[in-house]
Amino acid sequence: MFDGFVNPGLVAGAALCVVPLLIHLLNRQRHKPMAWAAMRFVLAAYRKTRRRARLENLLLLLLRMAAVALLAFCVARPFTGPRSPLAGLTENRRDVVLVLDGSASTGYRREVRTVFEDVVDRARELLLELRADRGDRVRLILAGSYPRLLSWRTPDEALSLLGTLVEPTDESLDLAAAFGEVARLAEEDAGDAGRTSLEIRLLCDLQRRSFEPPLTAGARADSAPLFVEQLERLSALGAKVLVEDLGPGEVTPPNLSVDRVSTDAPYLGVGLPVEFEVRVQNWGPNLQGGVRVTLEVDGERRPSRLVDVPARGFADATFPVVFQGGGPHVLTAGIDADRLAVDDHRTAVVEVPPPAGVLLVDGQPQFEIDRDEVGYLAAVLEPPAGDDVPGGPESGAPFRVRVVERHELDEDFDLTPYDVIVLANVGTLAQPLVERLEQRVAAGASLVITVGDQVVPEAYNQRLFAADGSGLLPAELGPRVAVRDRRAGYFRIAEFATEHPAFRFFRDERWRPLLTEVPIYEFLSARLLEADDAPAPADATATDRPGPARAGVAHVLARLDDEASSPLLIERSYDRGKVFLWLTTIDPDWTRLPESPRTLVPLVHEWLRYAATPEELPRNLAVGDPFAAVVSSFPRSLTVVRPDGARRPLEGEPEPLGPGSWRLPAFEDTDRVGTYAIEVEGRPSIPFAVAIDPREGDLDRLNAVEVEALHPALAMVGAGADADADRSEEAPQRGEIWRALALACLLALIAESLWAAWIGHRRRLP
Amino acid sequence: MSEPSKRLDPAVLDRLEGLSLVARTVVEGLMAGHHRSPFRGSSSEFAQHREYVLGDELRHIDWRIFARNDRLVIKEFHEETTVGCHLLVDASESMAFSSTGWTKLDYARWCAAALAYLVIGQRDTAGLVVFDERERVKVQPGNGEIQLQGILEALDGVEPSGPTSVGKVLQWLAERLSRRGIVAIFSDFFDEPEDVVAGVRQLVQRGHEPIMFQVIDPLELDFSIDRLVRLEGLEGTGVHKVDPKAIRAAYVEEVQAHNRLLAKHARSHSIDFVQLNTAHSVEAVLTTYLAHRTARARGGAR
Repeated sequence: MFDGFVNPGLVAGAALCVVPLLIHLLNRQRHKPMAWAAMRFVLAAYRKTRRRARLENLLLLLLRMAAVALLAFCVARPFTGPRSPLAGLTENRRDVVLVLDGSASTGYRREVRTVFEDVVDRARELLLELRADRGDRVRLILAGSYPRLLSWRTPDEALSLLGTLVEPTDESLDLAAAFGEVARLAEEDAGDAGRTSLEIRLLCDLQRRSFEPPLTAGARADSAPLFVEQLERLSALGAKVLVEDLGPGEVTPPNLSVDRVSTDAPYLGVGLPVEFEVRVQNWGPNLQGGVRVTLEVDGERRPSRLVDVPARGFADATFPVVFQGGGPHVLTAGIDADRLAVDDHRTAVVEVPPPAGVLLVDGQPQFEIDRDEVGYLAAVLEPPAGDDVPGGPESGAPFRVRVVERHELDEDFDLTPYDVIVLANVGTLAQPLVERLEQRVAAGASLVITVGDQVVPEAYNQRLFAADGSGLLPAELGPRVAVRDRRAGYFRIAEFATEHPAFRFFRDERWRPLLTEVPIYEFLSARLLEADDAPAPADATATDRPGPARAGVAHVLARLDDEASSPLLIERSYDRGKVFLWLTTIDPDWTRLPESPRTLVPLVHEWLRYAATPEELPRNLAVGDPFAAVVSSFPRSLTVVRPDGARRPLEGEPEPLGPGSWRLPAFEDTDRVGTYAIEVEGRPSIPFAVAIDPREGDLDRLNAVEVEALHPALAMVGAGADADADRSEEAPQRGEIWRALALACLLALIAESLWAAWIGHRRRLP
Repeated sequence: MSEPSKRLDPAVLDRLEGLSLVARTVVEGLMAGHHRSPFRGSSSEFAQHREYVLGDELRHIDWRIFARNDRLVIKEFHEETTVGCHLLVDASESMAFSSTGWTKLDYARWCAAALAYLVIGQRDTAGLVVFDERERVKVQPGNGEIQLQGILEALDGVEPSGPTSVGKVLQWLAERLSRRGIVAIFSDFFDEPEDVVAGVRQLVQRGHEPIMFQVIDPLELDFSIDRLVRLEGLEGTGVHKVDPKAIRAAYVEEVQAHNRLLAKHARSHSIDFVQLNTAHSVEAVLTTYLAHRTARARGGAR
């Protein structure tokens, strides 16, 4: 009679129907004894009324038991199928889940309308078939990178919300997340019954990449899509997902997108010519010739380029750019609008660093450049004015160099303007200076220490090294090591970190000997600060000195070819800064490296550029990624400007990162592509760009057979077909009859009351 | 009545003194009382004239009529005789029922005592028979204070027991009551109506004047019990669980039918059938009945 119950555990309540019977039986035990003389009349009356009284009482008892049983069944919510004899009493209420594909690809415009508009219209058609008076319910989900449950009650509410959907998101479709939400709703609906009666429809454009496994590193080609697990949950509940194709008619609709805006230049600098590539991707099946590509730099349009983009391939348009100033620059690349407009433009924010401030502390000043400790170094970093060098002083040198002697570093000397501080063979360091250096490095500067005859290892170790890693030095200095006879032999660089930015130039096999064959006659040995030496974070706060939040371990960037493979260049991070230890001289005293310009120039430039580059703040985000800027002064009055120009305050408290450094509250509402900016009172705005997933432009679609082959829970239905026909074939049939049972219970209670009143009236003596 | 008592309330007796129990039938009397005998004798109250026949006493000849008419007629006079009253009290177990604070037997003995007092006070004779299914106690008819005391003591010592068989007892007693008179039967008459009627008829045929006093409890009349009860029948009629509300209407119908039948048969034999509800005061019911009976007798005599 019943196929099951929504709340099967409550069926046990039907056993309570014996309560009236028990009460009846117990009452029979509660007869008061009474002596009676006129028994003849009692017996005569009893014989006369026995049958009728029994029937009356039996009917009353049955009505009471029926009311209890009906109430219990009603609460248990039984359901039945169309073949049950009780099918005529079923509610036929519909519970619908509509999943609307709101990904960026549904912005594809066919003629006049977009796919998304068709999705919304189809959803409206389906909602209009529902009836609130019948108790129909609908859950409306807008699916993008995450599912948004817009409505979960009446069809009218869903219809009104549908009217607010005018354009799709800029996100990709995460079917796993969408089906996960649907599975959760289905499990709620099924309860303990183990089966759901939800009708689930997915209105989408059948974009292939939405249904295929993600292209993550390490993912196997034959790995199942992530949503399969969610579909398994639905299958276990007897649910199917009816998929309606509302996408473009073609299997592979034509579409061009701007895939990226990038440069291969290792460094950006003011006045430095750089080439930016704008890659145009052709997702369509045909060659697209003469595609016009544009690039705007800070709103200034550059001459466009024409490219031919092969089918399912790409083409790059190159634009030379020279940035006249440092700081963030907004580049916007674009192509002529096609049917999917959202990927026809892409914005990138490029941070052009100003010339790095380099402070050279000369430990052994001499008048002659070749005898001065930092003579060659300064010459390499900042060529003297008037020299015949390409670009001249107006070329925008990447460094601003200042040379000082140790005694000039008094307490009034401001270290803040310097991104790199080089201590070149500096003899002694006063403790206050060491503390100031620590503060500056912790705030993000880099410290380069080169050794020489002025350096006393013990004194350096005492002031700059700490076994717990709280000191600046990445290694404990040891005794000097020297060749016995410079004419007989010398040390070489045996190995170096080829992937390190400082040695980028020497990755090329052709230039490697310039580094590895340079003679090194003397150096200081060193014992590295190892990982085991680093204390737990709690210990780092036990000292009086403000230690780094995290003591970084030392990394050897270059080793010599001596027996001990002694380190030559060691790097460590120190809070937000870095420390480099060069264990030989930077002048020709202990090595001939400074005398080799083809070695010194690229080494120093690459090395110090790297040292001067602050922690990269990601400025180019994907849709949905949060952005948290770092500023050097306490921020006040924070405002976010969205791509559409809307302004809203940035809520939250800035987080202090160290002296002169604050992290702003994260902004997470990056749901639209374009350029955002965070305005901070008293300083320039901080732009960042949000871009669409470039693969969202790949509109290649699945066909119906491919969709249904993915999982048995997926069933293709024709868009616009009779919804009832689809439902009768695919949707689970389960009609609840609790209302009929509730009515029957009510009738039983009324009948019981009336019957009891009638009996009482009839048995009353006039 | 204010409290149950086996002795008669003197106040009630005072009220009853003013009434007389008048027998509507002629009975033989041993002592002259103020009841008229149908037998004409030498008394002071002229009854009628009739023709002289040989043997009549010459002193009864009405000489005035002979002087006027030359007809010899004699005067007949009413002769008052004593009236015998037999009090029959049912002391079967069914008379032990009570819902009012006193049993039906208590009520019956009060009524019987009152009548005994009244009859003997009128210099009539009264006797007592207490019975259940057979005679248990008997006080021969007599008069005088000693007789009254004997009746009251016999009534006092009676306890209800034994089954009911009113009809058979009446038939048995009818043959054994020595003197014709009033037979006041105090019983609930919870017996077969035919047997009761047969017994009463026997009394009538023997020249007695039965008066049927049905002593009945109000609860036995209306069965107004509002809860489930397990009725334990007196006189061994079994135990039955009943829902009084379910059978009340039918019960009342049965009781009323039974009483109507008894009343009907009583009327057909010109017998008084008086229902004594134990909830009503003895004084009220007897006063009412005796007044009604006296008025009826005087009207019939005229």
